[in-house]
Amino acid sequence: MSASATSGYQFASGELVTNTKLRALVEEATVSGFTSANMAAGAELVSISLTAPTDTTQPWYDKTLGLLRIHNGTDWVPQGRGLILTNGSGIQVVKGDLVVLATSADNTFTTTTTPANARVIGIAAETIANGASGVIITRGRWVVNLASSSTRGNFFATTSVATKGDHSSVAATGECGILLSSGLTNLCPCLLWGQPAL
Amino acid sequence: MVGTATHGGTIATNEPLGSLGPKLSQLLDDATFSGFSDTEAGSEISIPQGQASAPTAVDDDFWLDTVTRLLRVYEGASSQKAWQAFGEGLGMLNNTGTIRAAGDVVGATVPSVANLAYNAGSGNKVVGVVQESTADGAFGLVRFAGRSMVKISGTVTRGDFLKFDLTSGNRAVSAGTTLAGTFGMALTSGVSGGTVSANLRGYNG
Repeated sequence: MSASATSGYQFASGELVTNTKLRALVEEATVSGFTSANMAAGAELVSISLTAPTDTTQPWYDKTLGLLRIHNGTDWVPQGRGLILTNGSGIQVVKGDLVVLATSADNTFTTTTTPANARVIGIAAETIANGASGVIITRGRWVVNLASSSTRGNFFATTSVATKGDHSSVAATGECGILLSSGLTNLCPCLLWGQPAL
Repeated sequence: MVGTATHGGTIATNEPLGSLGPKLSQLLDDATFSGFSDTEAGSEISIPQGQASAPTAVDDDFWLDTVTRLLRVYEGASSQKAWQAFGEGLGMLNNTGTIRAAGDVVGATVPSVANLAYNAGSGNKVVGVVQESTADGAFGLVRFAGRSMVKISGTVTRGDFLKFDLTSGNRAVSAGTTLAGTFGMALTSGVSGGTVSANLRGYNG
């Protein structure tokens, strides 16, 4: 399918053709309907949408999660700061839940009740049902669910409350990021380091 | 971004003026446009080329690498021309003295040799994991963060932290649950001489 044009001036049959009308015909014309099909072989457009596009050959900027994603034949893989992992926790996790890598199966995450668990892999980017796959943010700015109201500048880690982060003003082993807002228990803005503190 | 247009309708030689106006409109209204690509340096609209090998580049070109599944940008204005990967990888010079393959763990033990060069890894000076076959003296993508296939020595169990293998000089070994001195965590299990999928942290703690 090719893109199409609409001329900038519509002539009637028998209408006098003038220089002005001819210029308007072209200069006020519009072109629309560009898709990947209009591109040269190999050239791709970037889709920008709230939900995944049907064309998996082009990159997709996921407006819902704010991530650039590229399809690998199976999943829309987030670029730069996330992984697609399967929820093996036995429960549904929601956006902001802190999770760790599961040792029970490959490419799987679970929840933990171990404080400062060093296997913390990241934070759920979206609701992920038990057994389903979804995006886990591994580093950078995101939001985290906490066991107690946040204090800006505190460091956070996994805690004895599954899916929730604990926080402290002292950076200790296993802390995995820093809180960016105060007074929030759920969806507190944070910076996830991608590497737990030693 | 240069494409081609095909006009709609045709006007014959000496066609009567009375019918010319509508045909002039038809020239555009029925025209089609196709074949657009990113071929001009400085274009405001960058269209990534989706292919397995690096396209002929101009500065700031994008490339959808269909092998590594990474969006890469050509930083031709930099001192070392290379295709970088957003937030996860660097185009680096292979300075190891031998060809490197995908999954090789490499480091920066002699940082003064060249800019953006890597050497055979050593201890905790891991830079990342090679993503593509790279001849000695050539540039290739090294991934420092995110998911990557990693060559291993010894048995690795998912959840293990990975450190550089001093014996093989290009593989990772399990550090078990010891975080110090590691650069990533295995997402899958593997046996000696094989590979695992790992989450690289961009930090060698």
